[in-house]
Amino acid sequence: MEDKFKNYLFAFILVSAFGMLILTTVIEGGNNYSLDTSKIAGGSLSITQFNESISNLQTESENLKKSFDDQSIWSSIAGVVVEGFFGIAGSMFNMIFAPLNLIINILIDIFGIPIWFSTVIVGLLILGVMLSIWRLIKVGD
Amino acid sequence: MTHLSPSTINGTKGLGEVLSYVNIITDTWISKLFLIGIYVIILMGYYKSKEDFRGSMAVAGYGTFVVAFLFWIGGFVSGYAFGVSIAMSILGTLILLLDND
Repeated sequence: MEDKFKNYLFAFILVSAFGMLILTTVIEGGNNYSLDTSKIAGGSLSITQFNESISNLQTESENLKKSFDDQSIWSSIAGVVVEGFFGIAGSMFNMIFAPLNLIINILIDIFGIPIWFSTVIVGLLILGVMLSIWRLIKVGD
Repeated sequence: MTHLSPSTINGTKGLGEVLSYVNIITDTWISKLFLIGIYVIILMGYYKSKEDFRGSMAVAGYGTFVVAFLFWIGGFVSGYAFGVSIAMSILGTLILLLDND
């Protein structure tokens, strides 16, 4: 479970970076041939959104580091200081959901997946991520 | 609706002119179907050889993206169809990276 969670974290970060790279290639190639790139690199496949996602990840990583510097997660496990856990868990949660929101928008806007379906998937993911974070911190691996 | 007559094709310009003609009379659907065909062939080919569906989705996504990019530059497919191929390559990457096996 812990390794899976770490994989998810890295996967979402790398997907954001990959999305940025591929869209940069498209925009550069399109501009070289004087093509209209606004239809492609707008909306869900927006380079700005991918960029914001990566910036968000950086901010959350720094928050996470700050939480580890300032607070002891072991004290939260002992039930002495509860705030320690929630600060770290909140940062981890935001870190995963920043790029995931992009992917969900791509599914809705480009592939036309109904919103109710994406809501169900997001609901399950939120529960899954919460339980994974809890287990990660509880086990401490 | 009347379509262009095949006799209007200038054969001396090569196969590209024929493809362009077919693309016009099918309202770019031939290019879209071509991309879908490439995606399915790579997906199935890779899957049958490697028994790895997640990997095959990523490889098929990248392969289709390259062809779609060339089609888009050549004016054979719309930006929307190209956008779908980009989305498939991004989703393929996500699925590949989420592989924990």
